[in-house]
Amino acid sequence: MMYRDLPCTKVNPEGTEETTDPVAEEVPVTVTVNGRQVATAMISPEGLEEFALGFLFTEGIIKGREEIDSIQVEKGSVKVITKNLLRVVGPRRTILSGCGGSSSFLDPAKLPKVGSDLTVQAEEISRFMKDLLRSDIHQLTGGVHVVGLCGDGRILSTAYDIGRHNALDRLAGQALIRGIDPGRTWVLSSGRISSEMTRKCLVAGIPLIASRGATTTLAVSLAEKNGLTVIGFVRGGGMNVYTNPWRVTRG
Amino acid sequence: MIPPAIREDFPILSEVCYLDSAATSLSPEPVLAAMAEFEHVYRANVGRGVHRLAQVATQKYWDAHQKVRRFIGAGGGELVFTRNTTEAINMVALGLPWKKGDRVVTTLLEHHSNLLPWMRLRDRQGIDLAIITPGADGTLDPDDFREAVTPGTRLVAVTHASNVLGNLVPVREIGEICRDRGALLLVDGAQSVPHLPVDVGELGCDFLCFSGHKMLGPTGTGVLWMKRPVIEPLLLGGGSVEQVTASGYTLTKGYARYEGGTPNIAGAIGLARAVEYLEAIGMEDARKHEQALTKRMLDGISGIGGVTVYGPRAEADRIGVVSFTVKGLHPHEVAEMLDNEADIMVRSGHHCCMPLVTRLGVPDGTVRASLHCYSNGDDVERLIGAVDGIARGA
Repeated sequence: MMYRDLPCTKVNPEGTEETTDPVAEEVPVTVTVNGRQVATAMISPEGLEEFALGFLFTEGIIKGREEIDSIQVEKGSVKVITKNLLRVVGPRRTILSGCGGSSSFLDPAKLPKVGSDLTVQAEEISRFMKDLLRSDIHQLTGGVHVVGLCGDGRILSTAYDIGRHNALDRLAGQALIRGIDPGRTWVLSSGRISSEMTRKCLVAGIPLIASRGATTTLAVSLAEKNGLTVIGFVRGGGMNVYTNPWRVTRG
Repeated sequence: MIPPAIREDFPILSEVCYLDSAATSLSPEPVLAAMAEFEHVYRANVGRGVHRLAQVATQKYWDAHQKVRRFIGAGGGELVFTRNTTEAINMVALGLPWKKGDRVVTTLLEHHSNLLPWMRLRDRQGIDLAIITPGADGTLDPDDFREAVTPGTRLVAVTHASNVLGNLVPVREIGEICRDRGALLLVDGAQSVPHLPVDVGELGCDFLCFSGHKMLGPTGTGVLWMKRPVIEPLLLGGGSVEQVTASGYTLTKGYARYEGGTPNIAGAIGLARAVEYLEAIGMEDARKHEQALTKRMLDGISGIGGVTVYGPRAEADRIGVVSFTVKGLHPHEVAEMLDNEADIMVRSGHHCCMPLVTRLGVPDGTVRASLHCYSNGDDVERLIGAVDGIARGA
């Protein structure tokens, strides 16, 4: 389950009420590669295989699914074995579920450039954002982010997590599992576009990311330099395009 | 269509004409490389240590089970690695709780490994053992099972394909009879799993036993799949327990329950690689390839004067196992001549099926040529030519 009903005392001007409230689950999950701990993520407890795959992909640890020999999901851990067993990944670290807690193996100066010539209609971005935010779990808990992978004029898949970047990793994992070409897709997010979100898009080769929320200066500068389109404040039919606006078409 | 280039993966094929795959198959280079990788890169015991090598070995060993499961369509149930088919069948025979008078039905077509375990139960535990006799070409009549499988029958043990005659047994139909009468069905898949697509769901069996070494895997590897893990483990010890105190123990769940002691880890990893190799070839393609070769082999050999061929015709449901005798020669003599004169490796004798060869009226047994996915038309023509020469000289 993505959430649990927990006891809660509601306080308001009229008084207090003993009740329960749905609260998003958060669990630590350790990812190992070839017997070495790579990361411990604080994440939502479902779909751990796709998360691990996507995480390894967007961190540049694997280039594709064909590098994977075995994935074993157990309680609290995802163990990955690559076909090249001599592959050793750097020191362990913890990825926090919230913002700013994440560090990366990747050198920001060496991020790949996005070559895709994909364009998307502004109207489609607004419409899909509305569809995405209608998600039950997002509405119910108010604490679970939702991201969607779009392409071919529809939302191809959605992923949920207490962390935006974890949700994006899940999407990347789904794309790998389904053999979707990232260069023909774009991402919608309920949460802010920070630098780790743009970094993951760049590594995955996804050319556009749009959010209901804001973005950051570092995210914008990374996107500008590497050809990614970043869009914030997709609300009520409008949006702010911060970088590479040529990908957004009208009419 | 099987790419002829796969023969390069089997170095022995450049030295001899190998037609003894029903006894044991050859292992291709990728299987040997996977086993060597275990030795060179991550050799460690499984299910025990926490260090990096132990983790990798443990996961690879676990994954080997998953790969073999996928190969036989076994999403559920329990899949256990054994040394061979024989061990798998004996685990069932010794692991089920028997009562005197329990009935077991088997056939005279069986390999000794699917006969002796039940005979021992008959002799030692008073099991009522019924043995169905096949027709001269190995055919088993489902009506004989309808008669023999009484409502009190505990288990029916039958081969999927005869290792002497090559005929396929109507296991699905027998399975329906078993379900109807509440009997368990054990299938000896040693000669079928390596040569045709086998899906445990479609077979409708409760136990499937087969050997890794006949399906391009290493020797000393075999498999027992159980629809439900209802048997007692044969061996208890390291790796098979959850908890032990001075007063008792709790067995662990999963395959480890049945694999007490350090298993054949390199073997399991080699077997998993063999399964991937077969999947890449495609079992349907392998079957068609072997069928075409079998037809040619049967046509060629049965046309030779003084040669008698046993088993069903080429058109029947069968595998690439062809048994024959040459008038005036002992099967071992023929096999020796084929080796000495033509570098052809075949099996000869009773093929661990003494009751069957006696039933066929050839107590000395037969010469048996058997194919695998790597066999080709040249192998078959060489055999036909050599047998022809031997028969003329006899």
